[in-house]
Amino acid sequence: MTLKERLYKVWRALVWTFDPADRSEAGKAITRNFWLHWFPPRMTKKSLSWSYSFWLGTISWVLFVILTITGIVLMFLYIPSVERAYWTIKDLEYAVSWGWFLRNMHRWAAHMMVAAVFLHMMRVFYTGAYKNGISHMARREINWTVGMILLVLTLLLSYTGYLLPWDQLAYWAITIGVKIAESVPIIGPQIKFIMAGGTELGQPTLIRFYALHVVGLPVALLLLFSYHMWRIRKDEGLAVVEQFRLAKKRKDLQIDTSGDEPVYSTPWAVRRIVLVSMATLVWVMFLATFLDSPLEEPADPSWTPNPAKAPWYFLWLQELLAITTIRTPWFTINGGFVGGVLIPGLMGLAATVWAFLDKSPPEATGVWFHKSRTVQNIVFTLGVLFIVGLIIFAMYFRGPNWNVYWPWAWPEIPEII
Amino acid sequence: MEKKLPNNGPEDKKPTAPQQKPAAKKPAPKRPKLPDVKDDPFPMDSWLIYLVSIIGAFIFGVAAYKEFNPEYKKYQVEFKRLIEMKFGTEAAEKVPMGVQQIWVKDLNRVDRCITCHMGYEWRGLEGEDVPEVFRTHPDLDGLIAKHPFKDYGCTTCHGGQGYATNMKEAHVIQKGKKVRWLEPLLGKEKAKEYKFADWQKMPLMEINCNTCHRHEDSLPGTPYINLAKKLWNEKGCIGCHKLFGEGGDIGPDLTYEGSKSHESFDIHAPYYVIKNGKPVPSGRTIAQEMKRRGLPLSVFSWHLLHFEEPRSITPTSAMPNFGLNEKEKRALAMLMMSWKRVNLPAKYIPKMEGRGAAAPKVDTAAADTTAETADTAVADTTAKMEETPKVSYDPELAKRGEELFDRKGCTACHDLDSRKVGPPLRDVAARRDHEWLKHMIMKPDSMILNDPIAQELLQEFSVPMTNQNVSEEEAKAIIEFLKKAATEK
Repeated sequence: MTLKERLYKVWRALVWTFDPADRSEAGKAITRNFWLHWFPPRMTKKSLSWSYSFWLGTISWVLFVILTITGIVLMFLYIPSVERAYWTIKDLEYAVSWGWFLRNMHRWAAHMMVAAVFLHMMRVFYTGAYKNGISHMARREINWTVGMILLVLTLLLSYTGYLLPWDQLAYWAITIGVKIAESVPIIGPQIKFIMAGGTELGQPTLIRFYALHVVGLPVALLLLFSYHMWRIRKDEGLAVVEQFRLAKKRKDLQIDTSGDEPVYSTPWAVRRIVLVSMATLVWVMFLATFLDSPLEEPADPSWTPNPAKAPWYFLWLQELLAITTIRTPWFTINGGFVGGVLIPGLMGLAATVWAFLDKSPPEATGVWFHKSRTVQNIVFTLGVLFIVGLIIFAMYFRGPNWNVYWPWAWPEIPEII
Repeated sequence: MEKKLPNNGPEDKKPTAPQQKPAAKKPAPKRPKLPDVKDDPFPMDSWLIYLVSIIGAFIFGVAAYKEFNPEYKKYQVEFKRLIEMKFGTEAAEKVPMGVQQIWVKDLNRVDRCITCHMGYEWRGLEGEDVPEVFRTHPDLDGLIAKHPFKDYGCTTCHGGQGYATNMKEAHVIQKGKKVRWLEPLLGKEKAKEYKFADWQKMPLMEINCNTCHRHEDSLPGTPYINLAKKLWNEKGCIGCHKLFGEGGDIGPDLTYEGSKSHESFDIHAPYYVIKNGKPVPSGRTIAQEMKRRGLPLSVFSWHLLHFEEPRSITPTSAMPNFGLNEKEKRALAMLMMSWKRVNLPAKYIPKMEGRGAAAPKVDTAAADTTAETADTAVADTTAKMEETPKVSYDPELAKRGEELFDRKGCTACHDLDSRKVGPPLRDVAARRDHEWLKHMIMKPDSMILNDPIAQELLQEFSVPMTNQNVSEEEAKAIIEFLKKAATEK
């Protein structure tokens, strides 16, 4: 053996091979690699296909990695103080090398992660992927519940990060968010006090949000994500694999799996993961290069932008609160309970427990829009449209004093001079 | 694939009979079908990776281009060339590159203007031949000696966004995408927007002068602000408006008028025109009126319209139309904008030489003496006054009354001979009896509620007279003045 061959062998023994020579090596490439060992050595072609999963889970994870890396760099440049925070962001924009790019990447990846996680949830619902098929080991509804918590954690991460620039946009969006929490009956004021660290938004709020944003929430998300991945393995793979099993064991269903077959994880799945990661990174870089993040005037508690709007993913709650608030000349019924707790709470609860209640047949597992699930798919779609519709309406049609305007007829606000 | 699938373990690697065809032709094999490790199920993926890499490299290239070619770079290159031409290579080598800034710690300002405006303190670049962006700052030995760059930076006087390193955002140019910054650059462009005849002198900068120098009666180099302060005294504004706790309650407190949020000015409210002395909706909003006149939509324009005719903005306003000319309106609008809430470190507070309009503290010594004379005058004349016919008056008390008539802000609404907000008062002392006048002056609010004549007057003039906190003695003095006026017809 030449030295090169020897070195290559050592390398393969220590790490992994991207180009296995045989089946045993292909298996070892997965099981012996720390980062990949929770993958099975073989996966089915369908579970790796674009059209089944759209790879939304992987995209969410890659975005989280991008956010962690850019976030750590940003931690060296950001000062969580009400006097300094805004100016460190100004410096990022104008004076720090690559600062604008770093901030744009972090911001775009954050917005995209909220969207990707939500789309991932939609995909899982429409494919009936929280169902267990005919597997005796799978408990996919648990992973669905974990996913719901991960969605909430993602929203909270984005929400806590929203405040950090300490500009007018951040300050008032968070104020609205805190007000929504405050409108919860009975415990609302306590929640507000805990969130704000006092009676109004200030330094205590900023440091709480910062600590949650850089340590508390990411660590919680990382742990729960690991469990999420581990469960996929324990649930015997993605739900689409159930179709493979059904084809074999329930001939009466006449399921056609002709296009599906197991393929080796190394290199084919790994290559696809690399491709998806790269594409996600490139897409975030594209957004970061061409679309700048907003930064408004420094936060000023003495003047409220009119209208003040929550971050987009909480806009539907703000809108719900507004339309469930009934105003008469004599009394006002605050929409806090109905709009802020009851409706979103019931929607979230219904979506979570549905995974335990869905009695559709096993062949509806891991298939897009199975005909036995048409009714629930329609109900779910209406729920999604309700949320998305409210967000779009509140974003583009709500103007000063929360009045309705056409997006192009928005009243202008005067300059100073 | 043609080859037979290799089995587990290297010993099976030897190729078997190549003639053996894969499963397709065979009946169902016993072991589950396993693909070849070399059999690529997604042949497009490698190409996609290459494609994404190329796109990624390209996008990164664009980002790098943006990072390494900031807008200011071309200015710095040009400036270096200029210095080389004028002062030689040696001097040119001293020209710094990259972001330059003046950090004024005390004022919490970081001004990066000098990243492009590099010639600001190079002597010898004063000439017209030097491009304006590189020209030496004027008056280095006068104004700048008093306001050194290191202590004031640039934006303290000029406005603009010191942090920014591109022209649109540094100069706060509101064309296209909005720049979210509350201190616009008060330069020539801004002055042109408002059609200042002397825009070359950057008159709007006086606003920033007066932010620190607000307590001085007059200041060299600020003609507009000086005019505004003179008007403030002449028109008796303090009668209705408070400054630092002194002054009337009729109008809003103007101490920090310049810090009012721009969002609080509703420019979409109707604009009124005055017909037969009464405001009537013009059918336009304030914003439309500004556009009609070619004014930018701004708080400054709002002040211009408001000074022209207060009731065109607020139809119920008690503020009179002072008949101000264009220059006076601008001057007063600038004075309003300059009254900002600022937290000045002690060493930045200017040495005060005079007090007056700008310094609202009334000279206490003078106030005491007037009060004294009023007291004695009252003591002397009250007894007399009861019997004397209406046309006779006490000249000394009348003089004091005339003074009060001005100081209490009566002139804002009343003229002796012509109708303003309220009725003319030349012969009021003959028209009404003493008690009625006294009550109307001292507590007009309760008169409007209870007195039929006062109610009738309100019907006619539509603006209610406001309570100016006039004491009984003061009211008597004012009545004496009105009596005197009646005799002088």
